[in-house]
Amino acid sequence: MNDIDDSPYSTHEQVVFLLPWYVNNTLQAQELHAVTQHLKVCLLCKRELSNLRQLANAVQHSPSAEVAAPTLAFAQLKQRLETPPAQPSPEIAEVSTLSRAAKHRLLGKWTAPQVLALAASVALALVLPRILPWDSSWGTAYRTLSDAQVKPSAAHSLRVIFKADTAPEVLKSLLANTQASKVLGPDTQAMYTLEFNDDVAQPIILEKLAQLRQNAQVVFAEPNYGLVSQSTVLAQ
Amino acid sequence: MDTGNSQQEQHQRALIQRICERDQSALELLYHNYYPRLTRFIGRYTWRDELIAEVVNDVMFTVWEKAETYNHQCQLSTWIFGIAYNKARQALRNINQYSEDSLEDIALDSMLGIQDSGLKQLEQQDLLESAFKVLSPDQRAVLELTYFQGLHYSEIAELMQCPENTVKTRMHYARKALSIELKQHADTFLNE
Repeated sequence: MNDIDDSPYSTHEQVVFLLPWYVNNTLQAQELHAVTQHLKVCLLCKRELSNLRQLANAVQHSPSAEVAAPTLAFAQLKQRLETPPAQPSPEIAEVSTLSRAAKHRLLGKWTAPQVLALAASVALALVLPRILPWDSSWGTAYRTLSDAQVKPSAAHSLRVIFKADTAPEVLKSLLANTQASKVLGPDTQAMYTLEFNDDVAQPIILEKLAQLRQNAQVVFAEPNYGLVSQSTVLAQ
Repeated sequence: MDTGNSQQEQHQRALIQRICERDQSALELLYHNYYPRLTRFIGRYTWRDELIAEVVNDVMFTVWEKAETYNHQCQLSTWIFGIAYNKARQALRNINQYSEDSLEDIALDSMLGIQDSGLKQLEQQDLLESAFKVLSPDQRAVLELTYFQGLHYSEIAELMQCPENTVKTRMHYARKALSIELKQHADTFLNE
């Protein structure tokens, strides 16, 4: 509740909004004092007070709706209390938490057969994977980057592209510094494929890769990743 | 309402305690105690008689289910009428009959100084009864909680979960809307 200015002449704007509760006798002491004092000097509020008293009287004498007897109504509630709560499946429970309004928004434009067809489709989608037999050895006809396997040799192989203006002696020196053997290259994209001996540790290979990337003459340096063919996977 | 009636409030709080212990006879006593006031409030709020019975039972079912969450910080009646307000509001939303009255939430400060000629034409109860229909459910709730249930505006704000100034504003707009409606009725009557 807000504090009210004590002056009866400066509180009109606050008092006029308190008058409804002056009429129902619920104002607290400070509010009551301010309103009482203001009413002594304000004709507008006196008139409003008269109107509000008529309004209060009208509300109090307005009829209530005719409803069932409380005994009968409570019997219905008691029946509800004694009905054990249903144990819906998780999927159904999630839907049932929607408000009736939300359901209307979601399904309001769908006819009953359409809703049933949708429900049947969802049920099939959930059930079919569980009842159909599946053998993981079947594999799949499609492979993507996300399920690709790295060639076993890739861990010891790099692919490098040098700038076109790299002098042959510089190129030779760079390749020699990697301490890897040149397997292929340059191909049509000017790419060299380098391969390290099997006994070279992975950290050393990564260090060589980092050195290549830092060199201004190198425009591309990556491990020699590649996809294993489907026939290779099935043969393993 | 039971403002100032501490004995009745204590009795009702004892009932709530028994309800927490799953005593259905306590719920029945509380139900009978609140039934007239709840049916009245829900009927006046929704203005749809067919909703009253269902909403009252929804309210008391919630009281049964949530009795342990009553924290005794407000009067029990305020807590129960707060549930009733929310249930009635939800019921109206479910039947797409309810839309917020954007005018209601305009800041009180922007309205200060507005006055009108009042309710001088108020002579017949049925005229006012028909005029109530032009009010929004929230405006009718404020009128009802003020003049039938006898609540202070701060209690109404707590119950409706809105600022106190919003309650005052709703009352003010309700008064103005009724005044305009009744004046139109009076003009029509005089011109016939």
